[in-house]
Order: sequence, then C-alpha cells, then structure tokens
Amino acid sequence: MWPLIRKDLMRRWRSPASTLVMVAFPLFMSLVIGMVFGSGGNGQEFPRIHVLVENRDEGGFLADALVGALGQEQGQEYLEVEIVGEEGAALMEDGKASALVIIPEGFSTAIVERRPTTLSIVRNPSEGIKPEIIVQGGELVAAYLDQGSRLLGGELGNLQEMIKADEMPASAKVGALAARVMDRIRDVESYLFPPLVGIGSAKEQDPDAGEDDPSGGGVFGYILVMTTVMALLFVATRSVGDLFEEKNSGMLRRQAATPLPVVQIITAKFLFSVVLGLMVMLILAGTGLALGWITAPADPAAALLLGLAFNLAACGLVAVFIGLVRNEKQAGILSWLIVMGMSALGGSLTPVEQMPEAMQGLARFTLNYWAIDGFNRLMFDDANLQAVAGNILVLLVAGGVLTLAANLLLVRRFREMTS
Amino acid sequence: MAPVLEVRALRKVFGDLTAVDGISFTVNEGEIYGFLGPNGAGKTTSISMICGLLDPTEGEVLVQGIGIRENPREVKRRLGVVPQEVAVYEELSARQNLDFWGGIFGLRGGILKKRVAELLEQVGLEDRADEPVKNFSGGMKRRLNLAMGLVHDPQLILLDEPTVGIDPQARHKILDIVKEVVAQGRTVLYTTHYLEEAEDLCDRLAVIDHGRILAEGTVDGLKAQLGEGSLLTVQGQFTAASLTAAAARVEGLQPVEIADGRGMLMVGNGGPGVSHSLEGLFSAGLTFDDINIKEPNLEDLFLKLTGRELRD
Repeated sequence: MWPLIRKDLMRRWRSPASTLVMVAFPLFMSLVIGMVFGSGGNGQEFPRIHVLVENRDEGGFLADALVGALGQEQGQEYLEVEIVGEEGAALMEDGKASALVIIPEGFSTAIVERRPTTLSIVRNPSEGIKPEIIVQGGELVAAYLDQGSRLLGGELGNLQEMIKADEMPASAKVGALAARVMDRIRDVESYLFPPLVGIGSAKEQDPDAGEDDPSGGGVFGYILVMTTVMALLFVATRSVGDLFEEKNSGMLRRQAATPLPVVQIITAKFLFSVVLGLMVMLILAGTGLALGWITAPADPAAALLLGLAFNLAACGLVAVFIGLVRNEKQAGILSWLIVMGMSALGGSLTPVEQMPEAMQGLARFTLNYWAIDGFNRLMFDDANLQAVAGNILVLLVAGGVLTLAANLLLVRRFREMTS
Repeated sequence: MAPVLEVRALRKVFGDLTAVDGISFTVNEGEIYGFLGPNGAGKTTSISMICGLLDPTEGEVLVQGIGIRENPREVKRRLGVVPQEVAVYEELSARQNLDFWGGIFGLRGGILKKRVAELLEQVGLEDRADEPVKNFSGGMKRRLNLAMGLVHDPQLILLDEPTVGIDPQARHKILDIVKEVVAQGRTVLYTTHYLEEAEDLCDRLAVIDHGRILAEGTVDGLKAQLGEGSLLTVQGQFTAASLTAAAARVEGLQPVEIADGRGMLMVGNGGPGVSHSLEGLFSAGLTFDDINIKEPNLEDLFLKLTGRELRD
C-alpha cells in the first residue's frame, strides 16, 4: 500500500498549487478578519492609523459632522485623526501619515442639493494595508452620504437651514422634521440595516473564560482554528476526489488491472488523504505559532489525536458522498455544499456562540463543531486530553462509521469507474 | 509451443448490444498475436475481459492455464497491460512513474532500480528520466506508457492500440520495442486497426468485426484466403449484375467483392493473366473509369469479409 500513498504524496509535492491554496486560505482569512475585528498577535493592539483631515468646507454641517465623527472616542482606538490645513500635502510627502482626507469646499451644500462632489483621499504609498483601510472607509462614507442624500432629499435642506439659522428652531419644527426623517428611514430600514452579520468577541460571550487575552493570539488564533477546520474539509474533498482525476487519466483502470485488491487501492487513497490533511494542519499550526497567533497547546498529543480523528471523519464523509454520486461534477457540487453547509453551521464561518439557539443545537451534528470546540479548548483554555476526549470520541466514531460506509460504496463505484 | 493465453467462447453483452460474440483463440509462447479490426469491433472489450477489468457474460480466459475468474490476482500478476489511452502520472518523472509501477508489483530496492534503468534505456528515455512527464512529447509518453506495462517483466503483454495518435517515427520506435520484447521471450497480444502494423508485426492474427472473429491465421495464410494471384479493382458505369455475369465468362477470374460501379476480382495465378481477363470484361461491353492491379493485402481481405473498408 505504501507505493500508492507515496505516489500521491509525490504528486502533491511535484504539483503543490492546490495544496498551497488550502494552506493559504485559513492564513489569509485569519489575517483579514483578525485585522478588521480584533487584536494582533500576542495580544498586541492593532496599530492606530494616522489620518490627516483637511476640511475645506469648514462650517458646512455635513463636513463638520464627518470630522466630528472621525474624532469620536470610539474611533480613536483605531484612528489618530489630525485636522490640518494646506500643510497636509507636505506632511504626506514627508510620510507623516497613512492618508490625507480632503473634504472639498461646498461639500455639504453639494450633498444637500444632490450635486456631485468628491471626497479626495491621498494614500501614503510606502504603507500597505492602512491607507487601504482609509480608502475603503471613505468609499463606505461616500456610499452612505450618497444614499442618505437621495433618501432624505428635502429634509436634508431643512436641516441645513435650521443649523445655519441664528436662533433656535421651534420644537414643533424639529419634531416634524425628525418624524419625517424617521418615517423615511423606517421605510427602508430592512434594506439599510439587514441583520445578516453579527460581530462580537467569542471570548466576551464565554462565561468560563479567564483573562481578557487568551493564552493564544486573540482573534487571529480563533479565526485560524475556525478556518483551518474548514480548509481541512476542502483538503479531504480534493484528495479523496483525486479518485476521479485518476479515473480520467486512465490510471485507476490501469491499477485495477494489477493484482492489487480494490479495497487496498481505496484504503491507500483514504490514508493519503488523512496524511495530507494532517500535514496541512501541522503546517498551519506551525505558521500560527510562528506568527504568534496561537501558542503551543498544553497537550500536543491530544491536539494531534483530535486532528487525526477530524481528518478521518472528514475523509470518511467526503468518501461517502463520492461513493453516492454518479460523476465528478456532481461530486464537486455536493462536496462544496456539504463543506460550506457544515462550516456555516458548525462554526467555521461564525462562532457557534453567536448563532441562534436552534442553530447551536444543530451545530452539534457537524464535524466542524466538535473539532473547533476541541481545538479551542486545547489552544486557548490549556485543556488536556481528558477534557477533549468526548470530542475525539465523537469524531472517531463518526470517522469509523463513515469510513466503513465509504468503503462499501466505493468498492462498488470502483468497478463502475474502471470497467 | 504451449499456449500462454487461451480464450474460449468469450462473450460480453451490454444491454441490447453484444460487444463480443463468442470469440475463441489461443496465443502461443513467444508469439505476437494481432487483433485487427476497426474501431468498435470489440478489441478493447476483449482485452478488458482478458485482463479482468470486465466480467465476461460467458466464456473463459486462461493465462498459462490459470482461469481469470478462479484466480484473478495470479493471472494479473502475469499480465502487462498497456492501455489505449496514455495512462501516466504527468506530474511525476518517467523514473518515478516506473518506480511506482514496479512497487505495485512488489519490486523493491536494487532490483527495482536496475529494472527501471534497463527499461528507461530500452524505450530511449534515459536522458529525460527525471523530468516531469508533462514536458514530454506524445511519442515519449507513448513509450513510457509501454514501459509501465513491462516493468514487472510479465509473461503476456496486452497492447491495446499502442501507436494511436503518434507520428510514423515514434510508431516505428514502439514497434521496434515490441519486437525486442518478444525476442526476449515474451508473448504479446496486439490490437490495432492499422493493417500495415499487423502485417509487419504479427505472427498470427485474427480479423475481428462486430465482436466476432471473421478469419484467423498467419498474414500469408489470410491473404491466401483471397486466392493466389493479382487483385483487379475496377470502377465505372456498370451494375453489379453485369460485372458478375461478365466475370463468369472469363476463365480464372474470381469475384471478391462486387457492387454497382465498383468491383474487386482475383486473377488467379496460372490462368490466362490480367490482360486476358480485362479483354474478356471489355468484350462483354463494360467500360471502366479506373483500373487498378495489385497484390492482395489484409485490407482487401477485410473488405471481402465485411463488405466495408477497415477504416470505415
């Protein structure tokens, strides 16, 4: 059986693109999501972005509101806003800030009168992601102002008049305006604020959690665990699905004409998939450790066992579906649906604690749930083998049952694929 | 010579289609036995049953006296199968492909290394042995495809159209390798639809169509079924009946295949000769647009046996 496993490992080594994508995916996701929502490695805070704002529309109520919003206490955690005059461009040339936001003259009036206007952002080319965040933020502001202008129309003009007026507006006038604005917002509320995404810290919601910063690297570590589990499902899909690739190349048929028993050929493919999954997992864990996103688990053997159990179950599940479908196309579609469905339900895309209660119950029927829960305990709560024994057992039983079923199905499919 | 392969009344039915219809033949040790027939004749289905990829509906396959149904692993150990499609791992090198294939058949260590080196030299790939196969030309891939079937030194080699889609130079190289392998004492079952290959390579061959063996024997023996002499092919404005009637009046002229506007006739040796035969046809009032005189070949035999050309 070793020549078969070795051959597949060599093929992956000689043509590593698809495996590298699987490795890169969780790292990329962790980096992006972690940077957007949380702290950096070793609990360090995400570095603040120094933004210069040149307000050429001083006195304009929307320009002033925008400047005020940027300087709010909440934003100061991420932004260091400095109001500048014409010297802003020179400061940018000296590389003193990540971006310069220029609010043009007549900005507020233009929006009220629904005329085109431009919010300029000068990026610091020597920096990578920080100016990009400002640009993205600027686009978001522009989109909201544009839509707000269209939505509120005349009311925005009335508001401007009230703000510019020397005397305080009458309460009735303010009330009527507020009511009209609220009515308009209520009409479009479901479009403007779709409650699709919830953001929060998994740690804050975990009553058993200890210190503010877990033993790992905060959000990066959590996301890495979540996305790694999903990536391992994709690895299983790709590696067990290699049977189709071998069928198309004629190699499966050729192997079937050798004295090798069919069960041996299938088992070898299965073992290769488990080994590849473990290798991808270890590479990701090593990278996470090197980046400081996670710390070494207190019980590495338990982590390895949990990884093995999960990979077994993942390969078994994928193999069952490959045994059931008629062709590669069906296998691709079904596997994708299964992986994405289980990932969404099992906590690879959103922490299970943030899901509605009913979904949290359903999550327990996914492989992702048991793996993520186990890894989180091992990585962030310093748990040992005993604490995750239940998770490992569930995955091993699932893996055993699925593997048995897959073998029965695949032996039958193998005959069809090679005759 | 002892038969290496015995096929008895082999039959394969897929639903309403009978792909192989009760064929029987034997292949003797050290022989190249050809299966000549057009695409869809049942050659690959026969090979698939012989190597255990397909279960026969009826019939029996014995390799060195061992039945494929009774002991498939033992039979497969003695077979080297070279499929029609190039089945190699493109990401791996030629050496890695051969290492893998040898490993499957239980070759290890120095023996495997030596065997792989021998084969790489035999198929002329020793200089490119460690390059990924995806960089190879079609002919090189075909040679590797063949080598992979030989790595475990099998008793019987099943070659299913091993020269399809390659240039004449690469084809000659493959045919040379096959001859070399047979000279080393191996036995080959060779399927092809190229009659030149069959004539050049095979000691004996079977002409197969619609799953049936239509004729079997040596190349000369099969040609002799057309008769001794020259083959006269004529085309023109005549009916099949008029040509048949005219030919019947000419001594030593045997119709092989006659249709409206086209006829193939054998002018027997020892008779009055070709010019006399043509005079006889002309005197019957027939006129021809085209006349061709040649030695009979397997294509003509196939036409005689099936009423259509081999490449139809």
